[in-house]
Amino acid sequence: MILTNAKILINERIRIKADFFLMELAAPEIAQEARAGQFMMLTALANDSPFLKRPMGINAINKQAGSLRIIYQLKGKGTKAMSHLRAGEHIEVLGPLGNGWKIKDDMKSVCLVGGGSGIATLLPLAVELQQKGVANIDIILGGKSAEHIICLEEFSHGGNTMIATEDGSLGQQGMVDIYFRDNPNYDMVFSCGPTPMMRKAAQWALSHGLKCQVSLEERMGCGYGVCMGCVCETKDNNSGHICYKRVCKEGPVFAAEEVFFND
Amino acid sequence: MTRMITNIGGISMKNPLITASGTCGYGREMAELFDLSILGGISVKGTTLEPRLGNKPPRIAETPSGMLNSVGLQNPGIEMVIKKELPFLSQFDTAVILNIAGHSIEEYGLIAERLDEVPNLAAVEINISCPNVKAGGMAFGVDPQVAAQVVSLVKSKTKLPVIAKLTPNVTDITEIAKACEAAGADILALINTVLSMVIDIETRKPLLANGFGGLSGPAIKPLAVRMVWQTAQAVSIPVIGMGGITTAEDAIEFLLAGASAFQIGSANFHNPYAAPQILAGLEQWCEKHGVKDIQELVGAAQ
Repeated sequence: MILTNAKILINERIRIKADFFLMELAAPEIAQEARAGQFMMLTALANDSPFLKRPMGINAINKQAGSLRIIYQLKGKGTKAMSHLRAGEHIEVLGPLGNGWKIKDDMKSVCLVGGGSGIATLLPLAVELQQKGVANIDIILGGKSAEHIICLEEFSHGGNTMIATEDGSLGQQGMVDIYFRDNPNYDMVFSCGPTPMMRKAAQWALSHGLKCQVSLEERMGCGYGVCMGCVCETKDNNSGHICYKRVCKEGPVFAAEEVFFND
Repeated sequence: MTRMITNIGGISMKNPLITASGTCGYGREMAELFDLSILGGISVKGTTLEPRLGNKPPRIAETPSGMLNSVGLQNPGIEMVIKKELPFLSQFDTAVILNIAGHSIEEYGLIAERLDEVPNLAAVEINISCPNVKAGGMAFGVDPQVAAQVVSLVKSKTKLPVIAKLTPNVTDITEIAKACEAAGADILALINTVLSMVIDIETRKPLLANGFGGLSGPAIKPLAVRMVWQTAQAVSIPVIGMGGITTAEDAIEFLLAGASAFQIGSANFHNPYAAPQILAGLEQWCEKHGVKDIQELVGAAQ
């Protein structure tokens, strides 16, 4: 975990209506440590406003160039301030944070299910799975419209992409579950996106006896485990009772069977 | 560095900076970033008799120059804290302060009587000011008589110095402060968070699952400075000031208002290196202003 003032290499709007921005940062120390599925805390201003940093999933890691990429959607004060920064300016970054996706060497066939801005954190996973030589990588991406499906071209290099949009402007019309076939045979299902989507992906995987990892999102205070603000409801391994785990520290990636999905 | 030495109410510290309860866990995460021995003290997460699940998420909301939290004292309970958490902190040369909270007055006593057996504890901080739990917490801190009962019970159960941490959610904080002093408190710490609320205008519901939360951060600093000023003049025991400190200059303002030491709270969230940076800033400021002993500043504002 490193706190640094990173130079912004790129900060541009990549989607007009869906308000997605792409930011590339020079942060060699963080890039060196970063793994797929981890995140960073960023703030556009150094002082009181916005007071808290914002968690952003890492979208691409370039260890050689010492750079990292995030894709963020304009939502509130924090992301708005970020969107005003120009290339050449600096931004305070804490990272890499969290546990990241668990990738095993013996994985042969996997399925990635992503929706909305959650798609971003699946890209470095797809890249790593491909580098490891995983034979079959199915990638199901969903969103409101074609504008909401990010990084599609990069995903297409590494796997078999299937697209679902609510308005039918790209791929098939509907939600990601139209691609959930019977008797799937995967070593792992990885999912990141809106809670209802992850719940469906988890139910599909678990009901067929498949393993599933989900990457959760929650409002965060610190990002490094001290504020206890970003907890999610999980099942305690021993007692089966509810216990709250920190998304920033024990997560953001959890085994789907231990998570209670609440909207 | 000797000019930073702070000895108050039976606690010896190398400097007046303490990380505030609920903003540094039990020290493990922060210890990955810097040596905790640089801290004057560390006030660890509010601990209860039994384990506490805490409140439902969302527990955090950003507000202008600050934040709301409604964590609700999630902690593994005193037994686990003594067994698993406090031993970790014994490797550091810093004053370890255990913050405790109870559902009932008796519970504060039941926790306190366990503490004399714990090696390396510098003090106990009684949380009678948490706004995020239904029973206990703030309920005990808004009534001078009840606050005094908790303080004198804890005092009778442990030899450790007793800090009473006060809530700002009262009409006159000096009334509670005087009651705690009379009941035997060695030190007062103030302020805890300010009871607040944020409504999501799209869902038309409170943003926090708990409804209300505690406001902290720079937004509450002037309120905290005023209360520290009033309290320091009303009592003769030392006061630890806190509320929105993010820089060395903020800390000096609290000292001038009458605080003998200060705590860093939500600044730890937006900047994990807030404590070392504030300490360095404090040294520089004293050097520049010819301050030979940090205690010269305490209550020096006229």
